[in-house]
Parts: sequence; structure tokens; C-alpha cells
Amino acid sequence: MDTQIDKLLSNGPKVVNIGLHSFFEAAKAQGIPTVHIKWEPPAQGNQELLHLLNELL
Amino acid sequence: MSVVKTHLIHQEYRDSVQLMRAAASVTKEVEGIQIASVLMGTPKNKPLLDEVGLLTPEASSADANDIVISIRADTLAIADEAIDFIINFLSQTVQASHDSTLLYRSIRGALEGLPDANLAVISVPGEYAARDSHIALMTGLNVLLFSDNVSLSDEIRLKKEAHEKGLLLMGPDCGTAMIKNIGLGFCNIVNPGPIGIIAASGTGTQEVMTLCHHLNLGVTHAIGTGSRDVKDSVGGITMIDGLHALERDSSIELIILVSKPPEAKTMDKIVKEIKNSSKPVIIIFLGKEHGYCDIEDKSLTVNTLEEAAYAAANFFTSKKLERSIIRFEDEASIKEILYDSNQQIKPSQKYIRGLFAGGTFTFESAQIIRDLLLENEVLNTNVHLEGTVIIEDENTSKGHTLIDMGADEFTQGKPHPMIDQTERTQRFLREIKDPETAVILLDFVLGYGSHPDPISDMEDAFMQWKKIDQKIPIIAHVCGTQLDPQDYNKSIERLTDHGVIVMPTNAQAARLAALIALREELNYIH
Repeated sequence: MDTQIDKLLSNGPKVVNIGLHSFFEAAKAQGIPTVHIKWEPPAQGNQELLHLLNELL
Repeated sequence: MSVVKTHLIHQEYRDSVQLMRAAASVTKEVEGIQIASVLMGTPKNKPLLDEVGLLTPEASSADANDIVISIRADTLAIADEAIDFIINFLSQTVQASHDSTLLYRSIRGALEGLPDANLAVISVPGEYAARDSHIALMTGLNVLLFSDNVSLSDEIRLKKEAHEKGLLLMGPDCGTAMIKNIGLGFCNIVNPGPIGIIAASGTGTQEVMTLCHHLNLGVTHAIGTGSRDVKDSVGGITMIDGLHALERDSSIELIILVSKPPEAKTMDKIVKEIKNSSKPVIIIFLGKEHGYCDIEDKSLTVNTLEEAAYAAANFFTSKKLERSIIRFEDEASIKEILYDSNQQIKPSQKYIRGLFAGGTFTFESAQIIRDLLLENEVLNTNVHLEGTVIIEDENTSKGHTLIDMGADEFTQGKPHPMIDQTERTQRFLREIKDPETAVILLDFVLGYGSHPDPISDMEDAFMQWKKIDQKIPIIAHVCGTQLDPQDYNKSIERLTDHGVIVMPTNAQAARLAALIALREELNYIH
């Protein structure tokens, strides 16, 4: 049975881009399906609150 | 005289590349700026501002979602002009990139927009990257983790999680990958074909894939593992999962493995996998002398990135795995270059100065030059390679010096030289004035992610080089192809027009630089 890795290699990448906007632009320029997440630091960068949120994952 | 001015843009997160482009741009466009810094107000960034005396009370008050613009300039009017320039620059970049896809706020939300997504490309600051990678794996996505500064324990946990789910986790610090001929991260565009690469090195991958392209071969996949994958604590999880995936992929006929040497237990594991592999494997563990895993028709070890590409070309011609050693592609013109340089450079000009954008280019050059230098000569560098010396001060060359200018010590709060070459240009201008510089080595990396025209960044510096009395040959290598978004042929042409000697591979560039510095003739090198 094909794994998710096999499907990635045979179908090609369909990308959720999180972070650098230039990588989203590069994916679009190569004509692959892609979406970009408008990312910002979770919990407004508050490390303590982030730690608590991570516990919930 | 100087003034420092801070300006905050509240609750407006921008990625580091956008911010560094703004800082680099204002430094070039507005005269009278001493330092321009544009950073998010994160706890990690504030000490960087402090180090250069820009952590004003206002900058201290910023939070992680505030953009901190800090300027040290000759006058207040210049500082104000610079701040206005940056605000304008940032507002233009958001307008240019604005479309409906920017509305997604979470991975789960994005999957509603692209339900058959199969890969998350994650390049957020390192301290948040493990969290996003975990969420991506939970939702069934393979991950390319570009971010660095991810802890080793997080890497191990994420790789185990990916492996158990049958997913691939490339990285962390995975700079380059290619899946079904689509470039991801910093990647060149090459012809598709029956080669699959697995690599722990970004620029190492780029060199092998572009050289294969120039040898009329094709590459379909390049799986990046991240440099720590071959540590025993990680155990080569991504390298082995990648190897198995390339074996299962019927479009792949030859696998090329590029890495620094794995730690002992992982080395044993990988060699065992290669012995059992159903497809031939060419292996380059940079810094490790070949011969450790040569099995007829099954695997071949080589010493340099170019040897890997030549061996691949050999394989597709003869169906045999054999080492093919080429010192120079065009020996006649090398003899001429050596003759000319011997006439031009003065006895005081003794040393090679290499200023690199690519870490693996630095390492491979160090390996080659170390082996060509005389026994009593020292090679100083900021990469760790047996038989070389770690340079005392990376900002000051001493004797033969090769510097990876993309190393952490140069890129804290500053753009990587593959994106912006301001730092490298300044260093270049210092090297050409040094009476001991015999030859300068440079690399230029094309492809997605890299500077849209890296040669342009250094053209003013080349003009100055041509004006000085001291004759110093410059040897460059351009890593790229005609399919890259930058113009590859034109890039080489412009360098040649300036008088720069352009070599077809990084290894040949390093070899030539060593011969020039040693005043050797071609016949002496074996």
C-alpha cells in the first residue's frame, strides 16, 4: 500500500506554506497548488502562555 | 556625530526576509545611515539590538508582534527619511502580495482551502516551528521544516512521530528540497529525470542537481534531511525513510546521498540499508575519504560534489558505477590562466581568500585546498574540517582564509548572503586592499529563494577591484541552471565581462585558486 510519502512523490507537492512569503511566491510561480497562512507568533509571543497552549495539543 | 531613532509598527507581523530586505534596501537608497535594523520585537531579537547600541526604551517596550525599526544615522533628518522609506517599503510589499490566500490563519483553516494538500512548508522562527510541525503531522501532512534553532529533542520527537505515521519530515534547517521536479526552499530548477537525491546539505544538493543538469541528466526528487539527521541520537530517520521512498518510486533509477559523515552507529545503519538497496547509490560523505562502501554495481563512494555528478553521468552511459576524476574541464585555458596570474601577482601576495555564501561550498573548498597546500601551510576557516584551523576572528582574514558568510555568526539579525550580499561585498573590498591577498574565491547561488540578481550586488565592488594597482585574480563559481528564475548565462557573462574567472564547479574553482596561490603549473597537481 502507498504511504503518504509515496503519494507526495508520485502526485507532487500541494503546499500549505507557513512563514516566509517568498516561498509561497516561489510555489505559485512553479504552478503548484498552494495556500499561505498569515502567521504570527501564537499567544502574542508570550512564552508562558504558549507553553500552556502546547500542553493542550 | 550620530543619532539613534526608533519607530514601532504595532501588531503587524512580517517575516524575516521581508524585514531584512527593507533594511538592506534603505541602506542602499538613503545616504548617511550608519546602521539600519528592521526586526520583530521578540525576546531573541532584543539582545541583537542591544549589541549594536540600538535598544532604546521604545525598542525595549515592543512585543513579538511589533515591527521595530531602528536607525543610527548622521542626522535626525536622515533617520526620519530612513524610517519613512521603510514604512513605505513594507506597505508596498504587503500590497504586492495581497490576495485572498492571506486570509488563512491556521493549518486546519488552510486545509479547507486546499483539502488535498500533502506538504507543509514551515519557515517560522525556530522557537515556534516544532509546534507548527506537530500540528501539520497531526493533520496528515508531510513537512518540510526550513526553520533552524529547533531543539534536538524536538527534532527526534517529530521525526519519530512522522515515521510512525508514514510521513516524511525534512529538516529542521532543510534549506533545499525538490519533489517531482518542483523546487522548495532555496532550490534550482533542473531537468526532470531518473535521479533522486537525499541530502543533509542545502548547497550540496544544489551543486549536485545543477551539475547533473549540465551533464544532461535529470533529477526528479531531492529529499532534505537536515544536518543533524545522521547523528546517532536521531539515527538517520529521514535519510532511511527517504532512501526507502526513492527505492519504491519507479521513476528513480539512481540515488545520490550527500551528507557530512554520519556518526558511527548511524553510519553502520545507513551502510546496511545501502547494501540492501534495490537501486544503485552514489555516496558523498563530505570530508570522509572514499572507499568505505564501494560494492560493485550497488554503491560507489566519491570525495567531491562534482565527482558525484560525473559518476552519475558515467552510470547512465556505461551502466557501471565508476569514479571519474576530472581536474579541470578545460586544461588548456587553465594553463593560460596560471601563466598570466604568475606574471601578475607580486611575491607579497601569498594567500587565498574565499568568501562564500554556501556552507557546503566552503567545506568542499576547504577539503580540496587543504589537500593541495604545502605541509607547513595553514588553512584558516570557520567550518570544522580536520587538518584546518578554526579562525580566531571570523571578521579578519589571516593567511589562507575561507569563510562561510552564511554561518550563524554572520546572520544573527542580518540577511543570509544568498539573499543580500552587503556584508560579503564589504569584506571583499577589505580583501582586495590586503597586500597579502593572492586570489579571491566567490560563489554565486541562483534558484528560487536566492537574490533575484546576485551579481548586481557586487558589481560596484568589481569596478573598484579593477581600479586598484594590485592585480588579484577572482575565481567564481555560479551554481545554477538556464531554467532558474535568474538569467544563468547572463550572470556568467557579466562576471566574465568584469574579468572574473568563472569555473564550472565549486571544486574546480577551489583547485584553481590553490594553484594560483602556490604559483603551480598544471602538471604538478595529481
